[in-house]
Amino acid sequence: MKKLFLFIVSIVILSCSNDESAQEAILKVNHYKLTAIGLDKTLVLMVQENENIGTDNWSYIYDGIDGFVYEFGFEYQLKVIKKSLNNPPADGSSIVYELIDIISKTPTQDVTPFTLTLRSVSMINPPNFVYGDILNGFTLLDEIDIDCNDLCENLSNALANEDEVKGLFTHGENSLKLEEIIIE
Amino acid sequence: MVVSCTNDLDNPNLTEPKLSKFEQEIAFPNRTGEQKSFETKDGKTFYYLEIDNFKVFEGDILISEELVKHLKKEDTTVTDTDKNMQNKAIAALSRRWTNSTVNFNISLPHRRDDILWAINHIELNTNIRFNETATGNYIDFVTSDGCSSYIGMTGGRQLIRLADGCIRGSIVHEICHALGVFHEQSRPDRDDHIIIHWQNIIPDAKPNFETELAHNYGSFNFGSIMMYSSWAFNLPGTSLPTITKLDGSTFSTQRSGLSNTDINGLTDMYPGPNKIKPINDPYNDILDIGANNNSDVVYLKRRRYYVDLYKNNVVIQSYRSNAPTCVDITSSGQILTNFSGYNTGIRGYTTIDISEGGGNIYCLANNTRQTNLYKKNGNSWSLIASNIQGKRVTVDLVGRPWVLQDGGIRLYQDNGSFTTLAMPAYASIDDRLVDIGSAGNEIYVSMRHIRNGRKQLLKYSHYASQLIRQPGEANLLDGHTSGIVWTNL
Repeated sequence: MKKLFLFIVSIVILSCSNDESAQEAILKVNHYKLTAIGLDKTLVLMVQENENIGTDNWSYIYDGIDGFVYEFGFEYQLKVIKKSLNNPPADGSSIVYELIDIISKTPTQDVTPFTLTLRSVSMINPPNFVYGDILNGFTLLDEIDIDCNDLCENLSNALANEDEVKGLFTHGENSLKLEEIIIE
Repeated sequence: MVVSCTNDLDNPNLTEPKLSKFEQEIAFPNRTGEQKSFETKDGKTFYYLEIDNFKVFEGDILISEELVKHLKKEDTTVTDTDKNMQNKAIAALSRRWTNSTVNFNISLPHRRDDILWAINHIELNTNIRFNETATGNYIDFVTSDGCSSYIGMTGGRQLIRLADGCIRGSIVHEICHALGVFHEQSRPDRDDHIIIHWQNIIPDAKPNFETELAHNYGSFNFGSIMMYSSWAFNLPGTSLPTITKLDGSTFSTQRSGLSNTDINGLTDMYPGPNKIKPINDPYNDILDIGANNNSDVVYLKRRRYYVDLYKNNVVIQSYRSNAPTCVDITSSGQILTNFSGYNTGIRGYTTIDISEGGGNIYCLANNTRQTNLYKKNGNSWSLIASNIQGKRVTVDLVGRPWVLQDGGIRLYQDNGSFTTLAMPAYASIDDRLVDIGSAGNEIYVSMRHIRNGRKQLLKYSHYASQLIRQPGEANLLDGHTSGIVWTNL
């Protein structure tokens, strides 16, 4: 009888799988997002999974993690469910993540400036990842403010006149602090 | 203990294998076969049913061995026939919205103006209409970190996910997916135009670059709103392209709105409200229908030992013997039949159909051995093509004869040459073409399923060179210049 019950439970579990694979995973989420191009301009999470944690190998999540609210400047350890879809939506990812638990959230100790693409005429139209102006302030895709300090006029000119513009950033208070503008 | 299998994702199509769906379809009603599958060259699993040695896909599409070979890439030579068959087989993959109407709900109010802009843009350029209600089958626009949509109507609530970064043109792009449109870079013929650089694509996005079992509309179009840019989903922080032209160069794309190609494709998929005018015929007594561009309609109807000739639903003549079986009416109001008043009089042949358009009159006539196509020249008839096995004929607005035969339609030239233009895209082995008629600039064909009696109206797409299923039913038919199709039901 016990074997029969286990057999029935096994069938039920298998029949509920919908041909997807789902598994738990531990993710490390980096303290900043990268500018990227999906269907449109976007900011993507940089993550390391399981054995890759602590290495230089990063993966990128374009569609976010269901249930997870990200803040720049923090490093996270998350427990998630990772589902592999046989029939992903168009323009979407074939892997979806759902948050189970935030294991840790710590302000980053990494003070190394990081580089983000701010404008690329060659790769995307319209080309700017930076929205706004000197008067109203600048943001990165309306997701986080840019503290441009004494580089605001330079930034405004670069965004208006240069083809390829990158920025070197550190973390400010609820903002990204622009340290240097790189014209390529 | 019973445990329900809840699917917490928003696409019911995930529940493959699709046996239950196959069983509901109509090619082999009340019959089931053995479900089989094979791996395609793209690494996908292609499911089909094998019934009486026929391979049946999506319930009502027959798959040939040649197509299977092509999909499995066992045969590296791809003929036009293969491509044509593939196109036909695949058109049904995407499920279209009923009556060209899409219900929608907006669950992210801060993007309402952008979403309504996209909806309005599609309404202005196509026959598709949108209705804001969260009932029945509907699209729900929800927030997300990315932009995504399932292909075609999936049934019930289906999500279009929009990040704040999804611009208006990208919302149009996502709605087009929900309407059943694949990416331009996923066309079966894309390798003739572009190179996919798989190594530069982030792994999770690779399905967006696979070829789909899709239907091509027109030629490859870099200006389609469904075309990815050269850098879509490339590795962040790099400038490595994911798609280039065959010469390795990159290209720009647009998201300002639907291209002409996009509009043509959507118009084919969603023809809008039908223009069918039914003639009441519950006992199937009508023999033929003809219409002209002056809104006149004539038809022949059996009545016990008589055949009555109707014009605009009024009997104008009755025949007791040697009654005609086919009829049309010219622009000038002349009624053409194969008996009294306008007998084609081709010696040794019986006229089986007659049609006028653009000032030209053509007929099909047969004897025990063959069927021929003739054209009226003054008081005589010229043989255009012999032994053509035609069943019905219609003449279009510019005077060209279109002949319906078993399994397809042909457009004839006066020197007897012809082009076989299309096979019914959705035909099963039990579907039979019934009649062909011209209405406005369009050529319509009716099709009947010999087992379940299902009647369909198809329209020849000048753009896609295929017969496209239309809303409504049709049997015998003919049409007005205005596009109205008269049919008996």
